[in-house]
Amino acid sequence: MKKIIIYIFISVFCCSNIIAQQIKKSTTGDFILKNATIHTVSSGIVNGDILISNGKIANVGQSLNKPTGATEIDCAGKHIYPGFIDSGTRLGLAEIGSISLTQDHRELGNITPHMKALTAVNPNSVSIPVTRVNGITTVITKPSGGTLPGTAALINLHGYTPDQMAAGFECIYMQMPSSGKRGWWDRRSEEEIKKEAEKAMKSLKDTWEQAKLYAQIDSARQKSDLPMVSYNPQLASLVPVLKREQQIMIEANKKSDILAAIEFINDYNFKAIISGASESWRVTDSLKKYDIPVIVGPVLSLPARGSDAYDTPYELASMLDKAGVRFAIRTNGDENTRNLPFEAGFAATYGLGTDKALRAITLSPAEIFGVSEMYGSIEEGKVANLIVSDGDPFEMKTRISHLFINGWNVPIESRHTLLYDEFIERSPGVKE
Amino acid sequence: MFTMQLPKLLGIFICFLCVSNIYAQVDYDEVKPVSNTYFIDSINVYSHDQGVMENMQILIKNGIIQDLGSSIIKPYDAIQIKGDSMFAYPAFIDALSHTGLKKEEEKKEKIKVRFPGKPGDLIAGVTPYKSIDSDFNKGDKSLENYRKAGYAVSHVVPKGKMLPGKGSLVLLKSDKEGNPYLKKDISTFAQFEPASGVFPSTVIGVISRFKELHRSTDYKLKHREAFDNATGVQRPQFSKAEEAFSSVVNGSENLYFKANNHKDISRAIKLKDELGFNLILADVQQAWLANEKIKAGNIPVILSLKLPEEMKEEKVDSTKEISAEKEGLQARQKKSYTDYMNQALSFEKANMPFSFSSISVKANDIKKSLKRIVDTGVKESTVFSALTENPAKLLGIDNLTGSLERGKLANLIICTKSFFDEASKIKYCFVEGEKSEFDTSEKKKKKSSGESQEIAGTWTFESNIMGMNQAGNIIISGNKEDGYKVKVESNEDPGEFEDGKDINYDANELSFSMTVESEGGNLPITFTMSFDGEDYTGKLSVGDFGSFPVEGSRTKKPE
Amino acid sequence: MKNRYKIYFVILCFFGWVSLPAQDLLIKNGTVLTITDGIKENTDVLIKDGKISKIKKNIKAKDIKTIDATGLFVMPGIIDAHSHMAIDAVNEATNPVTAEVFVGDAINPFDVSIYRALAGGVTISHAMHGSANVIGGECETIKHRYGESDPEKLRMDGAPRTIKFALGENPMRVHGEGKRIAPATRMGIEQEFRRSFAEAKIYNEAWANYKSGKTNIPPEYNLRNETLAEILNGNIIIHCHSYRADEIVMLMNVLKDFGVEKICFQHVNEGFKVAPELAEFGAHASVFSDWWGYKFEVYYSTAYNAAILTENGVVTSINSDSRELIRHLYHEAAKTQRYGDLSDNEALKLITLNPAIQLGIEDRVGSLEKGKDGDVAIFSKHPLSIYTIPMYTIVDGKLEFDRESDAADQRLDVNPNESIPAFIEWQAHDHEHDGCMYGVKCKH
Repeated sequence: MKKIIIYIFISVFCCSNIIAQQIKKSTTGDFILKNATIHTVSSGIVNGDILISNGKIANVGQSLNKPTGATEIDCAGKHIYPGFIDSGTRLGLAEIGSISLTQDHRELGNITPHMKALTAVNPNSVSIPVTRVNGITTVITKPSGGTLPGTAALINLHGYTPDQMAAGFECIYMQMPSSGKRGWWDRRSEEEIKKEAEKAMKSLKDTWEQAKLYAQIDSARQKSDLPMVSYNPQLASLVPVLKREQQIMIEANKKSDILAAIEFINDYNFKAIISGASESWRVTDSLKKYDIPVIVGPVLSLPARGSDAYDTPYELASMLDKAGVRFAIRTNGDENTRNLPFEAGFAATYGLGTDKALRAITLSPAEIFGVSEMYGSIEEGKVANLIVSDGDPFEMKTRISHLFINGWNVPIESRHTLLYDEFIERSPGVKE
Repeated sequence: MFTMQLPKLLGIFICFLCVSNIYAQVDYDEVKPVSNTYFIDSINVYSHDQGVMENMQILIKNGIIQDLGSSIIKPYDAIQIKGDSMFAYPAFIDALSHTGLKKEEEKKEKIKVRFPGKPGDLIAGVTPYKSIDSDFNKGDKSLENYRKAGYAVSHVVPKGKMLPGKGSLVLLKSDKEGNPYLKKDISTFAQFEPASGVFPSTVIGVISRFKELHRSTDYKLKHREAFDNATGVQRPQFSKAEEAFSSVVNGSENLYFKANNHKDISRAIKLKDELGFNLILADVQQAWLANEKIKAGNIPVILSLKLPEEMKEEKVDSTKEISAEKEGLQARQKKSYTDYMNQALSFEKANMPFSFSSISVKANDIKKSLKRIVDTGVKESTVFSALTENPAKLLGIDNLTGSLERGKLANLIICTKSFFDEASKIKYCFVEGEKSEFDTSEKKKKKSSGESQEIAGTWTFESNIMGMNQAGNIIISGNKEDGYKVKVESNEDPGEFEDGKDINYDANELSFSMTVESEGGNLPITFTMSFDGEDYTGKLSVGDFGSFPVEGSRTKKPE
Repeated sequence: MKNRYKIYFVILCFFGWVSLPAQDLLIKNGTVLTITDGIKENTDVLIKDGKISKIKKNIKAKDIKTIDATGLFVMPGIIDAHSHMAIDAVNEATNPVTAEVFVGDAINPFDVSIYRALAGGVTISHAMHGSANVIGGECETIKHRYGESDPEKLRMDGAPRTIKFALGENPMRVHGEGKRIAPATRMGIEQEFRRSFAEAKIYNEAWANYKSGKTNIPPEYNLRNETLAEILNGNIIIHCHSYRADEIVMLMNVLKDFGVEKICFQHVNEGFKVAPELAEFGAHASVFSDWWGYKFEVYYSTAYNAAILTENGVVTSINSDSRELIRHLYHEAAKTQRYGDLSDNEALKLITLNPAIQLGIEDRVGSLEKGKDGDVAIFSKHPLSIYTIPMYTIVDGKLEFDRESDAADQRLDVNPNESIPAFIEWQAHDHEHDGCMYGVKCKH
């Protein structure tokens, strides 16, 4: 009998050890975060508490009552920020760069606007936890390749299926045919580049004209309740954009390409966003005039021309701000999307200031994507995407202690932190 | 006995037939040249030391300048060429080119090399042994373009990758049969040109291969010395490339390195400093940054005739404000442009002699480049030296050519006017006495308006004929439609008129002739005059004495 | 911004790239981060003839160019141990072993990236051969003397010779997969080293006999073997591109067999897994701050790499391997305080003294001490803060970067045929990872 007890004791002990080794899980329920410095973004800084309930920010204020069953988290001396939003990535669509079968963002063909990024996102991508532990809770993930690569989606970085991650915004993503060199290896002559751009532009215009026709025919069909004649998913996906029911994000970087994009937007009366926009500082007048919001980044990139000042990309956000153009900041990354707060930090340093830089990765993108009722600031009723840190999240020394996405308390753990735990003091060490 | 000898006799008879056939062959489609002796009279001769020597004569025989002076008697068998106060210069020497080489064939299939790291010298482009022989088209049509541009000799190097082969000095003759080589295989040519897909495929690969070749050849030469002077020594194994490269390593041959930009120049100089061969920098376009190093190392330089595109004057839209950024960019472009254009000038200022290479330009564009260089301020004499005596010295042929002197090869060009004159054209080019003649007629487009002007009236004329100033009046009466009558009065004999004959007027050009009595007999004189408003210029030819320029203006219009 | 462009005319008259002889400089009243001797507040640094001659308060010096560093932070010039800037060729990828090539033969002094690096406080970079080959070419340590047109003037005289090795996917992809030439596996890579070193050993002995007069016939000359022999003789430091833990250990064992001691592993993303072994061998590590995931061999790596290696006693530096990243190495070093617990001085060492040690130039640079080269970077705030801005960068006492007065257009070699330089869309291809593959066809 003693032996059995001992065996049971040992097995329980072992089990608990095994459990201790497992990755921590997210937990849900009510949470009350007490005594923090709350950076609301929309209404300044509040010293007080936040109540999270049903996945939303239920209350923000001083000395809130703790509901029964709520988990209390002492945030004295800590800061709470809205979860950061990255306005352009390939997160979840790209796993290992050199292995093409792990890349899901680039479908074959130039005109594929119906390809949906959302459904192809890998919720279990190793990069997702790596990203969110730095405070990024929400990203736009977008397809690539060709003139109309697909439909980008806004996703929260938590969930086990794409549906659980969906954050309520999708848009058509378009690449303006570019008349610039693609990189240092681009050996095409000026002529060749111009020709290719013109060809792509023509094809693009043709597609949109066809989409217009399709829209006419389709609405007539629907009015008379007639069946579909043919299956044309490419054009069908463009119809909501023509009707201004959906936004379109247009990637354009060179000055002439941006101007061409603006012309395009005006011709078709799109509700549009321009992304990339590395030479947007040269055309702020037009952008302001037509109130076209701009997504810039990465901030940490090289100047586009040999004669540009070295800090042109660092100062870009500040220049747009001074000109009154609406903008948000992106990393355009995949596995290093986690650098978003640092990109914003550089923009802050080079003229933008911390507050505006923070807005550029929280409320501004939420407004641009039309989801500001749900995301982007700490206000009652918004989705509980929050980070708790011991300081300015732009600074390196700052540690993020808590992360909430959709009201879930997500553990601050990723492959990187686990490897750190295992190897900081490796056991066994060096063989004797 | 007779029967035994029959086959022999038959054989001899047949041979005789064949031989006599050879001697009996006459080609009636062509006529043999009458003579290879030329006598050029009343010509202005350019000399490096004395500038332009007026009214000279040149006698060419057997491809050599037999005589050059001011009172040469024309030999009976010489073909006379009227100098007509034209200008003779030594024909140009191209210090480095690929003239006359066959175009490299497009390789249909890429040669598959199993180990790109060890492709063999041929594919790697390490072929310092290659002569231009196999690729050079004798009497090729392309050589005519060079003669038209004023060249008689070219230092032709093979095409290829890093060590394409040996250069030869070629006479740019139209002769398809003869031997065009003035001197064969006198230099080695190198360039920073990697091979594609095999070692060396980058400039660092090229440099390392070069160093290795030089050093291994050097060691093998030491080995050979030991082998030659002792017994029991293993025989050194030279590769074909090493064998050919020995002449560079032991300094008996110069190495011409094509180095267009400043980085290549620095790299070539660095190799020279490390390895110690005789370096000549060729086709240089960006030398000015390295002038000091070049001067200190006494490195001969061949400048490129390729210049930046002419800067178009941008239309200044005074209503639009040019941004400070754009202004700055344009200013920087202008400065860079000026630096490139002033390359030759910087050499002249620093007293560093140089030659020219046409390897990066087309023959038709050479004169334009030369003009642009002179426009930057370089003296004409400096340019002429760079085209003639400097490359002659560099290539070791200054005893043979590079100037117009008695005893040197008959390599010369004759231009209608001074070479850098706007309207000047090359009429003749002699290459070792072989004459090429070019069309120098004025294009009619000058008078494209179609209208010739009325030239009736009294015109002055002034001319310097054989050192004596002659002046007088030419009275033209009549009109365009009905024709003109001309009479000429000299200031020495006012009132005495000579009538002009064979009067011809077309497109503002009047020509007529007359005969003048003189001590030696009747002298035929021909006038040609080109009218432009109230002035004219033209030529006056006097018997066998040559042509002399004449000019004048209208003093009286007809009533 | 506009003011910057107006300065064009001033620069033009001045001919931007004329070298001033000013190698004397006085930096007054800054917070001096010496690295080896603590932090000195309100202290001056005097540089004479290009060398640091004094570090103390209230230095009096007459007629000398002075920078007022009141409120600013003065640190040693940043050193990047892995770069491919300023050279015209990176990968001679035609053979798995190309020890005979030398990137220092192809320095490009006109690369505007040098200026942009100066604008980020970097004074020295290690221009390297790429990682296409198991044994690549020799590399060159260059000083950022921007404005010199003579490529030789960029070389850091007296810096030890270094050579590039590469393990893992890159050489296997280029040679094994691409050309069906060994190595195609990590086994093959090991044998490539053993063969090369063994042949070099034989070469070395044959030439030693010739040079000492034992034989009077020179052996066959081979530049590749000559270079490999110099590695065996301890005269060249190996810098080895590597990722996986097992291949790192493999190379250390090969080196042990051939008696080679000087090695610095580059990237070494899985170095943290064998940190004790690295420390024991005395091998160094030069790592990315946080790049990972772009190849399978870095899929299981962590941004805490630098911190773990440092804590385990390995001399570690942070490098850029990128024309873009080199401009904010101070920020990359600070990441070890987010991904790890390194102190300020430990983090700064990663971009100053440690890379100097790895390049064998620690007696000349890497800290602010009397007698060392006058290579200094001055920042508006502490260099590890996100809000810092590099203000001045000084190389050998010469002010090479001055944020307030420098013009925007810093090109040296301007094309005479165009006024507006081409637009390059850097964002379009975000695979700047592994700059080591420049020149080799990339699948994407």
